[in-house]
Amino acid sequence: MEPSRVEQAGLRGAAAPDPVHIQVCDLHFSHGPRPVFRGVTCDFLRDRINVILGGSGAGKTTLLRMLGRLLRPDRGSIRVDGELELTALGRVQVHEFRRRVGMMFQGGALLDSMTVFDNAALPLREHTSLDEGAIRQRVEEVFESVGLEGVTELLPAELSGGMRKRAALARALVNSPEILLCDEPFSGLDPATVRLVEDLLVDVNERLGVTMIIASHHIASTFRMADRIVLLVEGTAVCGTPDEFRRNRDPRVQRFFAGELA
Amino acid sequence: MTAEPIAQLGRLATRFVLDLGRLTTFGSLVTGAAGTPPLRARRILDELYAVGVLSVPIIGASGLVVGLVLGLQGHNTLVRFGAEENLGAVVGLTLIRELGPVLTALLVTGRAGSAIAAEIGAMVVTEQLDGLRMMSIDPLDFVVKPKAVAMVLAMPLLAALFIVLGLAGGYLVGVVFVGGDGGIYLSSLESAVEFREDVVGSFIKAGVFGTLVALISTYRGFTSEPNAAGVSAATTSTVVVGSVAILVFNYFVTALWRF
Repeated sequence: MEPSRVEQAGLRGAAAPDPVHIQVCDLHFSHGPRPVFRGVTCDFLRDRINVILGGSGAGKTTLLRMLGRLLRPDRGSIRVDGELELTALGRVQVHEFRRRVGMMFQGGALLDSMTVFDNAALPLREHTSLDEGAIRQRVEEVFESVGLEGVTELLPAELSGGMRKRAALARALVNSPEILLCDEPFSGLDPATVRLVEDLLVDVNERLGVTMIIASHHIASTFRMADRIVLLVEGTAVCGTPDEFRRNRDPRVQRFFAGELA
Repeated sequence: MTAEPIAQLGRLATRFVLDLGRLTTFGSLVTGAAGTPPLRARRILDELYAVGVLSVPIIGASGLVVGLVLGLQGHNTLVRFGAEENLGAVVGLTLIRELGPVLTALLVTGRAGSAIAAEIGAMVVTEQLDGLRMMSIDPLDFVVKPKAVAMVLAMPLLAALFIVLGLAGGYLVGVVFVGGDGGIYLSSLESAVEFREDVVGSFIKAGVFGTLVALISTYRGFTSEPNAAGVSAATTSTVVVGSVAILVFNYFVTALWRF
């Protein structure tokens, strides 16, 4: 496996522990009679790229949706900044929390009745008092930062898969969130576009310092970009840096990387 | 063995009551959203176009044809009793009191109600509603409210169009085709139709049906399973439940209004 970008560049010292942004403790969750989580405990580092890995049906998207409070666990806690207990938030507090979060959905989740520009401008029109000129400037700035120009007046259905991912990323970033959740950003993309989206996410993380949590089953990308990996296996989580995973002798981890659980 | 059908009936009854409870809660949330700013006038106008303007051809054509048939059947029956001068009253009262609002509601349920359920259901499948939630935008307010308000506003107007064209159809048959007197047709219509009793009652019916279709179509779409079969089931159940609800409520509104 290739060394991660942090290890390659020596950007971040291994000695200084990173502060925890989100702490997940003893999550239990079932889809009907099928248990998905049987005590998931893990944490996500502030301003870093955290990747949730796991086989199909391991609960990657489920965990991501719990971090956005789109789902509630049956039991367990999710703490943000050590104090905000996500599972106990009321309706208004959930709205406030989500103002701090951007989410890039697997299929983009762009509103198909609106142009790409209007999709990205929507959070600003809804939650800020910016005039149209300022909104246009901000949206164009974000489009430029994700390398998406000249397509803003198209409808989402007229975009290619890679462009739709970029548009979804632009919409997620337009409000300058402190946490960015990405659900399978590489699914359905060809290898060249995977590298493009991967570089884009790394670039966004480095420039904006946003806490990124990515649900993915793309192992090569994960080892290149992740600062922290949360591997979901058999209803529990194994956490560590890419390097720690390379040295990990846990049979569940080894089976996963050998492809037995994937 | 004999207990199984009873248990099944119990499960069905429980599901019905639960669904009714959820529908009521959903209705109260949508009503709350409708009374809360922002108004979303632009989105309501867009939906009025989709629900109202695009329904005009089908409602207009149906109203005209129903009026033609009523004129023909009415004339043939009234002639037997030498009462053909009452054709305007027969066509007018039948259309205004019953056929106008009821047939309009059934047609709109099939055309626009099913489309609303399918559109919202597709938004569930493609996570567009979750996308809105993650932007702190309430889908009830942003998606459901404009569609529901447009449906409630459009239904009485479409029913009025249906009635006017139906009356014109009756006139065509009674006056132009069979050679009756136009003045007699119109004066019979005018003397038979009461404004409060008939016209206002008709508008109230159409408003009630608009509310029913709005609620059922948005609820079915909003709660559809996130897959193709779920969207299909939501669309079908909107048409079936909506149509039955219109017929049942038609009886109650008529009974309440006339007493």
